Amino acid sequence: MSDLVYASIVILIIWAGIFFWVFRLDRRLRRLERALTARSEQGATMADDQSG
Amino acid sequence: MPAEKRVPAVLWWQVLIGIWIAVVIWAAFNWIPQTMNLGETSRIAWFHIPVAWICVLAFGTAMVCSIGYLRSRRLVWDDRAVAAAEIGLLFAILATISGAMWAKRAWGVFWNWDPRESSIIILLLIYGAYFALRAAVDDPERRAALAGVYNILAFITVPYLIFVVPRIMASLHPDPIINTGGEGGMDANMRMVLFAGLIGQTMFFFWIFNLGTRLRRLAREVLHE
Amino acid sequence: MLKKDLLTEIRVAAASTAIGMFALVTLTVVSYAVGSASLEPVVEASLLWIVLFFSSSVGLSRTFVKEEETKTAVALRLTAQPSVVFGGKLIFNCVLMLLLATLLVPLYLVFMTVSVPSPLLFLAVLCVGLLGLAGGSTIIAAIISKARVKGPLFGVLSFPVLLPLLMLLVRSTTLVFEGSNWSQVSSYILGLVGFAGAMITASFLLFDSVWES
Repeated sequence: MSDLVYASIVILIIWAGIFFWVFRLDRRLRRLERALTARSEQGATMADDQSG
Repeated sequence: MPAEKRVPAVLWWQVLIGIWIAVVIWAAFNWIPQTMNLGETSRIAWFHIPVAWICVLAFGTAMVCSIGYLRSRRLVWDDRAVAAAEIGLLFAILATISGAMWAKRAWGVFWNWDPRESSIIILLLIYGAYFALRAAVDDPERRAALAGVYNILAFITVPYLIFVVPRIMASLHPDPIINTGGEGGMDANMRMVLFAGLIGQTMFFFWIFNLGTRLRRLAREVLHE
Repeated sequence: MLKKDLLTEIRVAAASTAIGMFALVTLTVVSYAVGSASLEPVVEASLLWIVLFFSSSVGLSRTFVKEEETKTAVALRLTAQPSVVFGGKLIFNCVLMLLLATLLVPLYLVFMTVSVPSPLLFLAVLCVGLLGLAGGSTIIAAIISKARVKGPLFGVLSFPVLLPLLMLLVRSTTLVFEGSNWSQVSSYILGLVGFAGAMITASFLLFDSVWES
């Protein structure tokens, strides 16, 4: 019995690793995307000022 | 200064995927009984079968996205197609390895050249060639178009590999893999865990597919600023 | 379109002879290597199709390269409908394949001392196989004509996609060499026809996008 439990825990740890790696990637991407849209909004307002 | 929007820490479906798959893993090991007199290692089937399914799903998605590009000529579709193809290739590799491990335990040899195994190798070659093609074209639009056409052609072979080849070649070599590919000797609980695994991995696929697309798209847009 | 290509090909006889010579050389090597050993039908079938596949790739990869290089492609794009262009190329390639087979197969049968119990069945499998080969290869040739590093890329792209075809062909040809009758091979032939048909249909639909890119 304990053999299977042991194996499943190993796999679960591997899965946890994969999951959090993907999760971290997602969060980084979202931060990047927010930063980029914020930057382009800023850029747009600056352009307005200049052409105004 | 536009207000800094806070990035939410965790989204509900991420938690769902994490827990769902964890539960499936636990169930595959500890809940369902030993199967088919093939030993505990046969539990890899609960990993291998969904993986193979995701592989096909990914390549199908890649084809759809390629069609999307050819119709709209918007490069974001190409980003999607590549992301899907990459995942497909990854899962094809996983399917090959897990399949070989299963074959070794169940039938004593790592490789047999039976219809299913042959099919996965062909898929590896076909989609490996996809990336070779992409590497050989410099212009982004042209690359996307040519790769897209190839993607569609490539996926035409898939129904053949999955359905026609095993059926035709089985007449010479009836093979246990064709049966265990589906239900051979599974009870209701096993089927449920298998199905749950299928759903879990599908959700996970869409998540990393989405990530891959966003990553590619960002890279492309940032590099072209 | 077809006539123009045939004439061009006859003038540039070197190209055709290249395929023919490659095929003959390969056949010589295979035949020599095998020597007087008698082979199982499956090996005879495999070798036949390997020689055919590789010989064909020598010629088929060039299907569109000529036009791109001499810039006549631009003129073609303006004057002709894409499907006509593709159709012409496809028919040309089919003819090329049949010529190749006419040269190679009898020689193969002789040199490798292969017995063919039912020639009609063999012919059927051959023809369908060559058609599928030409059908799949032509669109791939169009794709690589727009890429760099054309030569090796053609093999890299076409062979995997044609592998299912190849596998079916080897199996069915093995059956033919073993002396099976029509009913045993018919499902294979159906499969082959289906594959060739799907490839050719898709090629016609997709050729536009390649041609215009």
